[in-house]
Amino acid sequence: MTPQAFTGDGSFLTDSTIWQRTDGFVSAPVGEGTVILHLESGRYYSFDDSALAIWELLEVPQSLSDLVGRLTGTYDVPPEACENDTAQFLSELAAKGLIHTAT
Amino acid sequence: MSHFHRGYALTFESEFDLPGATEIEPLPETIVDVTIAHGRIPAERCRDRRGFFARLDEGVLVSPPGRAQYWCPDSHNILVDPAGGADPRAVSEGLCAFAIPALLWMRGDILLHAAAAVIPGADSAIIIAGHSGTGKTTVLTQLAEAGARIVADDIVRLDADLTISGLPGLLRLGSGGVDRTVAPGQRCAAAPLGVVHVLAERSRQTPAFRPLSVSQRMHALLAYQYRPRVPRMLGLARTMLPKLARIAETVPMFEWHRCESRCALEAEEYAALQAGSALRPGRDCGNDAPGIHG
Repeated sequence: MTPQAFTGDGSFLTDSTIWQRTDGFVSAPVGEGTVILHLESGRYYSFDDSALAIWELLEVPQSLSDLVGRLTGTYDVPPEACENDTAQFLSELAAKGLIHTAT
Repeated sequence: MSHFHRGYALTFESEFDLPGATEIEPLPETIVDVTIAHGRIPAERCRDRRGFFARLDEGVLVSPPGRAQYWCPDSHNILVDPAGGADPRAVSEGLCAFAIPALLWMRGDILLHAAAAVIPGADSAIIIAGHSGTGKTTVLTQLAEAGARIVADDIVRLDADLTISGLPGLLRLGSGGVDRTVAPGQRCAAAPLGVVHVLAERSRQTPAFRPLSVSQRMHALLAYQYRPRVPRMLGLARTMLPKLARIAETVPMFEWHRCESRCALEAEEYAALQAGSALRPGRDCGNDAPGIHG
């Protein structure tokens, strides 16, 4: 079964949906993670290395399939687990408004 | 007529009183860092606005109603145009609460909403952060009574080299604003930062200092910035975030849990502050344990 990601409004999207970062974030490495700060709202988030890898890939808008392809090409991770984890993470990012679908 | 003041480890030449700063007699070699003078504020196009603060084509304009318009055209000058009939004390307080912080942000400094002091025998300062009403000034006052030197009551400036400074001359107790002047000999103009304590909600447990992880430290620093929306509006967050990260990685921080039935510092709290180490959480503190001043 192909994992699907939620948008912020709760609807499902396919793994070919193109995702892009919301504008206006800055980041800085802190300890073993990275903090992402939204300049307008002041909300901030901590990313571990895995989350940061996906966030950095999303500098270029791309789909879940594209992300999984790049991640499995870089890291030693089973494709199915990578797809599930990445889809889950995209759902969280979308729910918090850090990413949105490309128009 | 201008007077000379020291505050935030800077020398001010000001036509206005600066509550909390230390008035000095200038020496021939005194270098003025900031000049504060009366002046008419030229009408300029506002590029962005957050509350009282507006970013102009040239500098920052602060306009708290009923006090004055304060214009920082650069990081060395503040022009003040008092509102008609404004209380001079309110104008001066506005300088310290709004205009000088704006100027410090323009200098690239980080400001925390916190108190700070140097405990007797220590060679570095502690910062006490916490939301309004958590007892920062109450703790600071007790530390002062125990002989601590005061660095800041409400706003702490952090330099790039982790030196902290503030306006050490005034403690303001409670929202009603009861002022207490700090004796000149008990003021500390600047000190290296040793540790940050974040006051938590009070509980019935005995006092405890719980160490924060680097990530938790970063979140605390972000949470206790002074008026954080303003430096973001000024476009400074991009440069401030790495500075905050360096502080989080370098400076030990603790979440300080105080007993809800105690205002006075307990002996073990004072000892822990002196040692800069953690206390273990423990028994119910009840109502009969003696409050001990260091």
